[in-house]
Amino acid sequence: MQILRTLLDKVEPLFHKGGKLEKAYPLYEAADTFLFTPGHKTASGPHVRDGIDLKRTMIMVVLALIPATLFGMWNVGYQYQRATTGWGLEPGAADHLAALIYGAWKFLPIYIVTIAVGGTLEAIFATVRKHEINEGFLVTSLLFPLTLPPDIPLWQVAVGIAFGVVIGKEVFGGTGMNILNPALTARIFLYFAYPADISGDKVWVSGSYALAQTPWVDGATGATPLGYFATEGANYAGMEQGLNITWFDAFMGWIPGSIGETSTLACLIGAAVLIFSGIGSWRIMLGCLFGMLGLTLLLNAFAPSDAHYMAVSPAWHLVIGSFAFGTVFMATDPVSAAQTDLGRWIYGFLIGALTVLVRVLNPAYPAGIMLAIVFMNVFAPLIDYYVTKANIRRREVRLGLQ
Amino acid sequence: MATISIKRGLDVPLHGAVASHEATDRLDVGRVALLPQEAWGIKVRLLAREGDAVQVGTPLFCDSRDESVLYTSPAAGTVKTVHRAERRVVQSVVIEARGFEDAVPFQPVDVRKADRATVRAALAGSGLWPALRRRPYDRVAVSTDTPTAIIVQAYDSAPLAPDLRELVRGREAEVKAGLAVLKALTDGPVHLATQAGKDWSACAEAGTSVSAFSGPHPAGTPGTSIHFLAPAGAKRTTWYIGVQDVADIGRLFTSGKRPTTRLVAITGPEAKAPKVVRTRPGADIDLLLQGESTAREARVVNGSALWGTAANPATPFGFLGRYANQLTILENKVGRDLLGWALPVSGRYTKTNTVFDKFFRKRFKFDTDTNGSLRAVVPIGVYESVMPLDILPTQLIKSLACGDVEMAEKLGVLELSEEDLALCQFVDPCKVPITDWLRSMLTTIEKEG
Repeated sequence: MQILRTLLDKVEPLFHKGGKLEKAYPLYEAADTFLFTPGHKTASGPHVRDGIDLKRTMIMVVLALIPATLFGMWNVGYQYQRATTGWGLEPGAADHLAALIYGAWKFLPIYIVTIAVGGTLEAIFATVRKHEINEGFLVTSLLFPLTLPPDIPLWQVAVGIAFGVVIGKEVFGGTGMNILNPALTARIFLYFAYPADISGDKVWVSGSYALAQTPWVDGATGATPLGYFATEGANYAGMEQGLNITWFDAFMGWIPGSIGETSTLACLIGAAVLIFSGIGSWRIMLGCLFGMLGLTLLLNAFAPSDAHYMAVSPAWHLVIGSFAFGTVFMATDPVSAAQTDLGRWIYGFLIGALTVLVRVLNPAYPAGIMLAIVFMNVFAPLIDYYVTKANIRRREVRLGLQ
Repeated sequence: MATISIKRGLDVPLHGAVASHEATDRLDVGRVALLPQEAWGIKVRLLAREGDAVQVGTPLFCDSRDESVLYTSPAAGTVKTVHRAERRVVQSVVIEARGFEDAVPFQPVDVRKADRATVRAALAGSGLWPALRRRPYDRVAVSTDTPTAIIVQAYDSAPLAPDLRELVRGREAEVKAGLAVLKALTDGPVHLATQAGKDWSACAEAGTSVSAFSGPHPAGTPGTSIHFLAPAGAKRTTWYIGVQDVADIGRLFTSGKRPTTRLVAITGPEAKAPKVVRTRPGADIDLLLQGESTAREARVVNGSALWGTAANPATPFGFLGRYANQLTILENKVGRDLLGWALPVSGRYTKTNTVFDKFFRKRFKFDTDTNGSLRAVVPIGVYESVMPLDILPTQLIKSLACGDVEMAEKLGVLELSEEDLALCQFVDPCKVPITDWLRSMLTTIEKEG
């Protein structure tokens, strides 16, 4: 390892001011601090510091996403096997290795395109702005592919992530300054720009583009529970018959959907990692849950009939669509969320409530949570404004100014 | 007695606490010095020149903005050097000590009979006044102000700080007398901020309100005491002072004897044998720490590892500070670890559960590594988790970062000092210079009025 260190130290002057590769310093710095801790000494303030840095923070989020990613890859392959061999194929009876390989074959190109396009843009912005390359993109670049359907055209991936990185983040000044969650911005851009490839009943199972070559078996359908409820109402038995999906299936996640978002269980594992490590805000997650519960119970109470969408139970809302994924990984983005403790509760609660509102009462978009989160991203500063104002008033009272 | 218990905060598990409070004598220090920069933003007017002979209590300099407050020599001898930095800022005034007996006489004052002006003048001229500091701005108290309250800080919760009850054991009468002196300086209350579970009844003068604090650091810091007992703001000044200084004032006012010794704990991961020593005020750290450090390259801190000024031996600042209850010795030679961000076990402590060392290790040998590079603030909620005051740390830090004076004032910057935000800076994954921003904000506000 000493050899590596010596090598890095030897080439370092090239990247310094006046060196040949001065402009590429952010790249050198990124590689250097990726391999070795920066070794900076405290110059002022506390003489000792906590062992965490942004690299470790972000890598924890990536770790938390790994169950969802692995499960997602397997599920892409499993759904494909169902669609081509027999829709009734039990998850346990699938060819797991083949499923995983097929899923990786679908997922990795998307991931690589995301990293290549987004990473290049990050590096360009860092170079132009002369600051270090930020680790935030590690998370964005994994979140974004997981929200996409498996057969998304790669050029759309490239356009989407470029939009997300530039408009969602860099125009505001980079990680830490952005108002919107960049991964969600990219996802929503695709949703509105190319709806045919990212919504409907056909896109959620891999292979639908190649129907001619690999025709689906009888009874196969790419419909998701979310879409089913939107058209058929709270008809659980009908869904079990028509789609072959029970609550347990939806919870485990072996249903059609975006690559990484189907499994509530994988998201719960991720939530446990984030909450235990102290990186993700449990206030936001719980807030989301309570918001969803609250509005769902309210709608249940006013549902015109037991078969209406309004009558769908909270337990189902928890496991369908991307509620769990959005709650755990998207809403908790610390930069675009509310930044006061009380604000985080309110922010989470409103996301949960809005998600159900969009799902149930909005006829145009079946997927609620993406829009709810971006909407609340915009409103987070307003929530913080009022929390801050209350704090200021308390201080004035304490000082006898009011 | 009111008990205030705080929940948020952090006791940094630093290695190197003192085992007992039995004091060892280290009185042979040879040189002593005053460090004017401890009192933030002081404009030094020298009253003694290099080569002058001085006694204990001879004025060495004053602040040209408050000239009645004198900064006096802690030793008898000659003024050896006045260390100056850029723009002739005085860093330290060093005295070659000949002895500590030869003192300028001080006429004891009976505070029960004397009026406020007399007490004030006596204290300001004695050289002990600068022990009184004020919020807002966290600077030496202004001799013409009348504070709304005075806090006597009798609990230091900083990492490895000594037990202040032990440091003043046997000086209860002097603390009492000192509290009476402070009472004469304000119409408001004098609070004694103590640690829950310690018995201070022998020290509490009639009319002193005693409050106990419990919980993790910063339970025992002036900032926390002020916030809960006597909030400070633009138009409300609160003074505070350490309990050792109160005992010194009590002794001076009753017997006329100037303080020539001070108890201080030598602590830290690189202290060979952490202990409490009895030494001289302003003692030369080079001599004081002879054979005490095990560091390859030591960083000595006047104060705790979380907040204090560097006092490395053989530098102009290498002298014991006026406000320190402890010296902390840290390793200043940091290495570069391979893939440090990825290892689940790295020998480092973190408040978050992202490095697992803390589950099988109780104490850590911290060094001065920042453990990361500078980034824009990503507020993952760690600031809030260590902020027990009714302050919104993320919002405040952001207003400091962008120099928003108006917002920072509204969010309570005036009641804070570096020490209060030191924990936020400690836990920060983005390594932003919070305390530097705070000081520059306070300087701006004070300058612009």
